[in-house]
Amino acid sequence: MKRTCGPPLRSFQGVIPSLIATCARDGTPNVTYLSQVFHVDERHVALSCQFFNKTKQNVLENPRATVIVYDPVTFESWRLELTYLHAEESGPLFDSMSLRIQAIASHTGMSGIFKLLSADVYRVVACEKQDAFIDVPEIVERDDPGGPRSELRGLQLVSQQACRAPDLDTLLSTVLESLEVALGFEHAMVLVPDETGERLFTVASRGYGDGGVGAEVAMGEGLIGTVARERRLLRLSGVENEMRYSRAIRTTIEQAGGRRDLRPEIPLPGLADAQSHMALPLVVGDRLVGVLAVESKDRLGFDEWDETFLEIIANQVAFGLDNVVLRERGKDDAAPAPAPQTALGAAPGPVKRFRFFRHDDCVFVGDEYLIRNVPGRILWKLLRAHVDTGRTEFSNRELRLDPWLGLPALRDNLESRLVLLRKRLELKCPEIRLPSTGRGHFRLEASCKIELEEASGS
Amino acid sequence: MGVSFSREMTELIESGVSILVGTRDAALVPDCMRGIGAAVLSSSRVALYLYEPLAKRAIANIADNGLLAVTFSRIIDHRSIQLKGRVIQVRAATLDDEALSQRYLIAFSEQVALAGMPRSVIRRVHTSPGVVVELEATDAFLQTPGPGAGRRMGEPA
Repeated sequence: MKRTCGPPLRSFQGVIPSLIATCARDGTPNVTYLSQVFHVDERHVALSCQFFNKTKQNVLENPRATVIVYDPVTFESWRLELTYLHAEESGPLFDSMSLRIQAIASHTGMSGIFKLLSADVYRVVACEKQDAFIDVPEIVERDDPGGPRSELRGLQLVSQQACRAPDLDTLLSTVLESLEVALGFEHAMVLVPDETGERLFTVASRGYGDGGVGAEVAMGEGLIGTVARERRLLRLSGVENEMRYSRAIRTTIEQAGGRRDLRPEIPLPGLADAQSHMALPLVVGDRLVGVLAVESKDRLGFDEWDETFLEIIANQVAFGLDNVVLRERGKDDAAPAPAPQTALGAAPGPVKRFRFFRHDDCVFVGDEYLIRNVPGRILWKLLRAHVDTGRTEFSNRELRLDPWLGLPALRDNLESRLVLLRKRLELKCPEIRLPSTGRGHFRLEASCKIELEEASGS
Repeated sequence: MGVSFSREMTELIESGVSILVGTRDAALVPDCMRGIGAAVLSSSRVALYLYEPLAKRAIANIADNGLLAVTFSRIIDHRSIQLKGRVIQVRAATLDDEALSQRYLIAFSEQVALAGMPRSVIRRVHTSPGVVVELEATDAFLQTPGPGAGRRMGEPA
């Protein structure tokens, strides 16, 4: 997005902290850092008020303030002369600023402590670029990956796949592939809510090696959990800087004896060295069907363009996800089950020992964690049936009807559980496969001998 | 209330931390800029090095009323203090002052690098011509972000 005057919008992402000077009624100046200056429009900015500090006290006495913001690419600076107008304690501006702070607070274990009190709105009285204090190298402006035609092509690809994908796995893997190939998002994941609605688990990921699928996040925790709970998009840049600011506050609170309100810091899911994050809720009607999250190692990995564009993509993915689940569901009842087959004789290959920990629905293969919760119970049911009776053919419908699996009656997300289960098996125990045999049925294929053990303790 | 820099304060001031300088004009319109060098002169006096072309407003404000606030903030953990007081001298920077500023920028670039930004950015910063302002601090405040920010140093939390 190009603007005709003033600092580029990237200067308002909080990558480089801004400076603010205010002045008390008695004439004493005050100067400090600001975590972020929020761009409202060409004539207004908003500053976050987390504590009633000297800056806030001063502008209530004398509304004049001066702020310096920095372009995080060229490091040029702009001087904004401001006049304080009012504080907003609710509404869209407050919500936008608050969401960002909630996510950071959650990661640093300070939910409810480090929070937005108000979005303080200022009019920009004057704006001037501060020339001549720094040499500006020749910068090649960051181009979109191939211009608008390429973007449209990417959108068309994603849209097509969202409509035509035969099953959930194909939908998610092709969408994530298109996001990378056509649009340059190298690290992306899709998470869906579990049966309790209290946690989200990663059902598809790209750019994380083996580690992505199965990772969980609690609703309301961290960036992804906050986005899921609030059902609002969130983009964070220069995350290290924000985390440091939040940790500094945490340390201050700890030193002041407020430790008991603090919770442990939550590690960010995904890349250890990500500098930019964006998470988008996947919503159909009033239902949250998942979260699309992208990350970048670049401090300015995502801008307004990415935000707008990914929002369109997220809508497509949400509808595609919902449709494919409904389509799969329709097949359950439509088709008769294939003739039951049983495996004759013992399977060839090595012995694989599976252990089921009933108290937390957790399945291990050998000594390695494989899967838990509903997908864990599904796997255990299938393996038990296979070992006890030799069955290999199964249907989605019988899983839905089995009360032990605990799938909710409506919107059970069985397909996403099966996708997760297949991916975890592929990763941890490729000797067991669950290929679809069409129209709501699938087969258990084993190229190993299976031993089962139920463990009662942890 | 008088100020007496502790050893820790002196170390922080001279350790290549961010230097934020605030002044105000006769109409109480504030101004801020970055300093690019600092030296403790006595237990309550500190010299601040400013890049002169960027400091015209600050110098005019100081000529008007002499009041100045300066915050020293360590990038990596936001450990910060703010001094407030009156400027007792403004003078053109000498070669020694410029050398001080150069040393400051080297130390500052290390802090910037720890925060994940390239050191090369700091090499692009201009230092000459410089101007030095000497502040007699009358107040010192803790400025580390958090609920206690702004507390006068020496007062109980």
